[in-house]
Amino acid sequence: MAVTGMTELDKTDASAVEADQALVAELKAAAPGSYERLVRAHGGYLLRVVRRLLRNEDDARDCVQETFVQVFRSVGEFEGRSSLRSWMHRIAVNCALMKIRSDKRILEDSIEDLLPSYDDEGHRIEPESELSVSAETTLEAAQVGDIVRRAIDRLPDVYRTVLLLRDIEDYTTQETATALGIEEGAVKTRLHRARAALKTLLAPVLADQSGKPRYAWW
Amino acid sequence: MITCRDVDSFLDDYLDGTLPEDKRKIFEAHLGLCPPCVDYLRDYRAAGSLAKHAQGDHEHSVDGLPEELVKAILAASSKPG
Repeated sequence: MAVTGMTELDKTDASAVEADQALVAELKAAAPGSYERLVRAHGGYLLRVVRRLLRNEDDARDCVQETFVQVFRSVGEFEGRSSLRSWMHRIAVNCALMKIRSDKRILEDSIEDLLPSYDDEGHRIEPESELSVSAETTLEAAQVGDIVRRAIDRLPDVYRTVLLLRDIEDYTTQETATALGIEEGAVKTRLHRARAALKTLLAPVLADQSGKPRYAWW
Repeated sequence: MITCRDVDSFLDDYLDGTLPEDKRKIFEAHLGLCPPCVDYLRDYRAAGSLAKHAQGDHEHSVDGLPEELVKAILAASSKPG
């Protein structure tokens, strides 16, 4: 698994940087307890990261384990150009993407039905409203969160991964292209289609007929 | 005059603020005449914001690393710790 290097230091406060440096020194020296401290300090975060990318909990846990094994093997090469967490984050994301590429079991629906339609003159054809939520219902944040996460999970992997990397992990277009092994133009095209499809899937919760947001915290 | 289909092809650059000035003016002129595109832009932007919020909210509600996974990781590392 390739360990991608970082080209700039993350902006963290001085005490966090010092703590990082101290832990890295202990890890390189294989100091007793250092590996467990690393796992407990960052494991929960990494599990949340890979869960966003992987639909299967077992795969997510395997990925976290593989990430830490890779980290333990490679810590001697870690130069501190980024924070420890950022470095491990990249390894975890690479692991998750490899699992997605290797999983041929999932039969995915086409995204075409979720994309906007136009008439022969290029004018937008507005879809018929299929509200599954009562117009009188104001959705709480937790409900909306569940609906949104399920909608993202419905996207085909080739689009879902781009959306997650660009819009959730805040990767740049170039970083996304590198992580996925595709051209930047393909990233932009897939991202647009992913966002358009997500908009379609979330239509029932975005607004009621009068345009008023349905969710209490928006 | 651009079409709604053209608007969609410029959408991400417009939202990123990277659409060239001349195209941005044409884009906004279309929005001034096309309520469906105004609605589409609003919902497109809102969907993206919801996705970020949903992931952020989920972060705070998830438990830490399960203990059995901590042990499995340390065992797999075959290193002191």
